[in-house]
Amino acid sequence: MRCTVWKNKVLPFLCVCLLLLCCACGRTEKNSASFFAMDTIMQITAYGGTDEAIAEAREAIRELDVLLDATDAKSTLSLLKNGDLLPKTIREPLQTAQMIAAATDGALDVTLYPLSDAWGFYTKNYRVPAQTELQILLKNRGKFSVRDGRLSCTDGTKLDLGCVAKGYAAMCAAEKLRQNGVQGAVLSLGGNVQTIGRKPDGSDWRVSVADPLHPDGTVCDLFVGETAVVTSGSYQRSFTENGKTYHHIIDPATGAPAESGLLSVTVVCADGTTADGLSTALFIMGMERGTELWKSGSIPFDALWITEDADVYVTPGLAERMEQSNETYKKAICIK
Amino acid sequence: MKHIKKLSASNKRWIAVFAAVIVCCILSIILIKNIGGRTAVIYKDGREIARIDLSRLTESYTIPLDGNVILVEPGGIRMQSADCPDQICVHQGVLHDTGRIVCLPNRVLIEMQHTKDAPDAKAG
Amino acid sequence: MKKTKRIALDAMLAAVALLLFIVEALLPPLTSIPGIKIGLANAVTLAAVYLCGRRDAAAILFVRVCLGAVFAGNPTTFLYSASGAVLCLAVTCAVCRPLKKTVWVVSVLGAVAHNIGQLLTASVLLQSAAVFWYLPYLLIAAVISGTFTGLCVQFLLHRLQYRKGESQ
Repeated sequence: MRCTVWKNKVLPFLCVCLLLLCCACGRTEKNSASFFAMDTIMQITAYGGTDEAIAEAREAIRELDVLLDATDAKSTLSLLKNGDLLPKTIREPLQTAQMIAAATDGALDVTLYPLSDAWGFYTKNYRVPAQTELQILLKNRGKFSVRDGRLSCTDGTKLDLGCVAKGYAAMCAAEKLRQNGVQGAVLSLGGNVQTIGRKPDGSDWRVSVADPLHPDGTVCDLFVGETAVVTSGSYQRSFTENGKTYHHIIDPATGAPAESGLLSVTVVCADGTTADGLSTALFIMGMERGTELWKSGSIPFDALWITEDADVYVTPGLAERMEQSNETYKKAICIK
Repeated sequence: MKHIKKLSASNKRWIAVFAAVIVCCILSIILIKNIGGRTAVIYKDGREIARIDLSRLTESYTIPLDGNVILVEPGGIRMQSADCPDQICVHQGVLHDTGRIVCLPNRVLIEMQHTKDAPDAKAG
Repeated sequence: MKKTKRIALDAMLAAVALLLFIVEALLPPLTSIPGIKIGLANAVTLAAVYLCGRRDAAAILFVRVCLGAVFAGNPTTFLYSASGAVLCLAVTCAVCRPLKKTVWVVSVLGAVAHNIGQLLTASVLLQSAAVFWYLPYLLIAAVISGTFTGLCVQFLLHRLQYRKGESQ
């Protein structure tokens, strides 16, 4: 009698339990990893694919970190001389940087290493250089061009791809994930966000934009598909001397931290390298020149500007994809 | 010993009822386990004390809260110590994506926020 | 049953319940989920309902909860155990007659009520409904521990050759 109860009632229930457990495990697997590279915290979350996919993406980032490190005198980037054949991993980000520089009247400049160094942003021994020193450094900073995949540069040229490196690394890592069968992923390389595909449930990725006044908080959420979202802001690296705050985004026109009336610029663009470089350029250019660049259409992108007056401006492409959550900032104005 | 050899009809009915209850519970536990986020919210006496995005954290620190000490580390949060007698909250270990830590004697609650409320990444 | 015998039996049961309660409090927590324990002391309450009647069971429970808080607890744990105990007793008394043939079912229902009572108190004290996320865990625990203590009582009552009428 007891046996029949066991057979008819309890065992089937146990089977159902097991079955349900199996169903729960059969969903798209989520893998994630956090690690330190390029002076920042990086996080990769991938749906579908394996742990190896993430390991390979991580390795790709590490290789680029070594290759593109301007502060390391022995890195491939630092050892480049006039006439050298550029490896693909330097040529690609460099060409993107040049393309942005051409479109923005030189707002993005990869030869500003001596100036950032003078301000102490590499060594963290911060100081405010004299006006004359900045002028001399600007004048002597060297010129370069790329012809037939070869670097042609004047003496004293010191390339720093820091303004596009994270965006490019994110693109390379994303490519590695795709090759390994990852259908959906979000990579955050120190706030430099790159997405692949969509979330497993088919919905958009939700990427929040950091609050430039309180970086722990957020200004708004953006709902995006496969794209890159990169923010440049004066809050990211800065130091204060004699009551004045100096940030790390150097304006090539003055050699000093850009004073464009902006707190941060967020760029949403299909190409991660472009998004990274463009966010820096747009921050330097300020609101007016930035909107002109968008209107000209020479580079297709969407952007979100936050000004020192707490105004928020967005391009129409982002207006319906954003959700504001912070009362400190005014309601976003859509530029036309 | 007749009573244990023979299971009456009402016994069988009740076994079925409780088995069903357990199945429902296991189901809901599986569902609950799949809801989660990366933001830990700390409550004391029902009041929100702190909201910490664990995925953005770079170094560990502790939050003292009367008799309790909460340890926040990159990707996890746990009760480091507590002056309560049972120490259950300390034994609950580290919270990563889901779940909650409760210290009943000291009325402290640590809860991971819903994924739906938390963004997938943060730019900046 | 004579009054003296009744008082003696009540006192003995209260002492046994208290002892079980204290011993269980000394054991390390079974799981990392608060509120889960075997509930050995509840077995005594259940047996008392059948052996001495509901009113005496309530008295035994009252003594056990109060003294238990003194010996192995603090004001907060007293609140939890009291709220659980009151709800458990209410349910046990309600179903003890119709389900007297399946004592273990009475025990499970009581254990479920006990855990729900504790959760209600916890949600009030923490001012948060989040503790109800523990409900499925606590229900499973209640069914298992309730079955265990209930079967203990069932066997105990049979050993004592308990028949209705004899205890009155």
